[in-house]
Amino acid sequence: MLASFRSDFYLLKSYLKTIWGVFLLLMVFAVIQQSAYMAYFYPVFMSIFLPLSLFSLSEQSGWEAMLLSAPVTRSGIVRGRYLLCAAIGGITVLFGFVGALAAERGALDTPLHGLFIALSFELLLGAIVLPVVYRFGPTRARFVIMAICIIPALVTPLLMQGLENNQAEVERLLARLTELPCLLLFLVLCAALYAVSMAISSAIYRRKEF
Amino acid sequence: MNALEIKQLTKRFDKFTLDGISFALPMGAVMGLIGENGAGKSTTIKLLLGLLRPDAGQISILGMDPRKEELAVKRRLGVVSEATILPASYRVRDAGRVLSTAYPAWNDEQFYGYLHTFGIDPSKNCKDLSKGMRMKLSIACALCHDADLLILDEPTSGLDPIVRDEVLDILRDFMQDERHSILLSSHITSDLEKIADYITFLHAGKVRLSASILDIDASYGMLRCAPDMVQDFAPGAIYAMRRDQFGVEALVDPRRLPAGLTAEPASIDQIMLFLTRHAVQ
Amino acid sequence: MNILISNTGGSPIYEQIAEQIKAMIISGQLAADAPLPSMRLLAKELRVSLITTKRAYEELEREGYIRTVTGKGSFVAGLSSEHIREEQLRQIEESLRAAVQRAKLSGISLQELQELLSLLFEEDSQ
Repeated sequence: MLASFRSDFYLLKSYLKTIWGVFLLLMVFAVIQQSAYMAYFYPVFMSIFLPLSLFSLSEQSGWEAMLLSAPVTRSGIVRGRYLLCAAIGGITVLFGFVGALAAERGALDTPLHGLFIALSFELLLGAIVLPVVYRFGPTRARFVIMAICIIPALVTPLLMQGLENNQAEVERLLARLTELPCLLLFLVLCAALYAVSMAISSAIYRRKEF
Repeated sequence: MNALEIKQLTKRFDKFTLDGISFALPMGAVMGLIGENGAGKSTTIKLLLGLLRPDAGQISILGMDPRKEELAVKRRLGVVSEATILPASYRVRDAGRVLSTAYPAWNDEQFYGYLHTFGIDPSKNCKDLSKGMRMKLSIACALCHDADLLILDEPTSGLDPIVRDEVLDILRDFMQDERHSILLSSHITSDLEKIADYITFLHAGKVRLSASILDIDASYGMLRCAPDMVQDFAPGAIYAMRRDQFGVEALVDPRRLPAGLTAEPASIDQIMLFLTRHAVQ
Repeated sequence: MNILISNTGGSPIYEQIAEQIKAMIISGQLAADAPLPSMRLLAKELRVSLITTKRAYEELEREGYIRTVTGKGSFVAGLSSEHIREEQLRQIEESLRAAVQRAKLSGISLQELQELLSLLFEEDSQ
């Protein structure tokens, strides 16, 4: 697991500068616009972008084959990647939290809620994207992911229409759901899904042939 | 004990089948794996490394079954592949760090020693290394965890003769320890002639020939003669034959030639070429 | 120890190595009980396969020129000059046998052969 973690870390190292650069830029915007959501947008987006990049980088270079001939288990390789994605995701979200605080001029409420929501979505998206890439490979996975993204894009307008009729009810429901205890629960649920996803990816990877 | 034993290894693809191949590499020896593109060399190596699962057959590496003792086998295996282009974003020392985490027996001192000998700067980016340097780095990576069996897949293709010579020297040093063995898949038969003890020749998914070079030297020779002389040869004396304007060129068994005729030694290239293109049915 | 190998035709490489070592032993260049380089080191230095030097050493051991002690390496055997002479005679007999065969095939008489032999002896001493 550690070898895979380290391997992925070094794969990303030279791109980290670009990643942080863009992130900082967006943060500055977020602070100027006083929008906490902007501060959290990038980290969540990264949770899709990061796995795809890691897969391309290690596959392209043949380094993946090298790791596979080392005394590391396939499950270990999967665990390392999952750990790295979660770690990087976690760190960027924490920075997002700082940015959100700055954007909200020190008010804790929105940034804190945003922190939990962003972490949860990161884990959730990672839990969906990673097995897809393990199964289909980075090139084909892009299409599958685009297809998956289209679903909410199609569903949301319909949802919105439906919600318009019950606006007050919906607003009350949302208010309940976004209370911290509920968000905490959601976070734990997403973490559990992440773990399940890791098991699924391990099973996929164990059977893979190269 | 054999360093490597393969029995009836089979793998079926859509357009190609590796069909029940068998050969053995004795410990302390170097085996060259030759064959035209698509003959099954890479497939065989992938099967050995667990990158592919066999449909049938048995593999034994250093006396162990790689399917049952995968990690134990891989700890003692060093792999160099033409396809391993180290990631562009890696620095040389990053590769060492990842491998030191992956291999319990990794020797950092030895690794940096090799880097120094090869003149590779540890802080350099892998993408800035020349092809020859990258290959030597790959070999260093394979040699620094006390591996007993080295598997090399086309390690010297595309390299200039000087680097190839240096690589062979490194391999010869590796072979000074009698517990070490090498499986070397290569198109560059001249390199194999300098170091291989055994040759396995794969053709269209089957083993066409697998023997020690001493046996090969004794059993194969080249002969040029007039076409009509061929009729007098003993059956089985001619493996393959090519006619041209000036006569016949044949791959023969030097032991079965009529008295008075001597065959020239046949190079691995010639054996491969003749058995593939001009074999006598 | 200088060993020269010719790759172009001629005898197999292991034979060339064995013959040259033999010559050095007979001439005294390699004294009795002198250590020989390990097969592996020799293979590396001469840039030939291991199996070649191994076979060369096996031949030399079979003919009694060297002895191999596991774990210690190979050493020149203490040969009496008689043994050496015997071995040389054996090889000469082999060569002569081949010459005689050829002579019979081409219808060359024993007398012609003997004349040739005398000529060759005299040639060398000049």
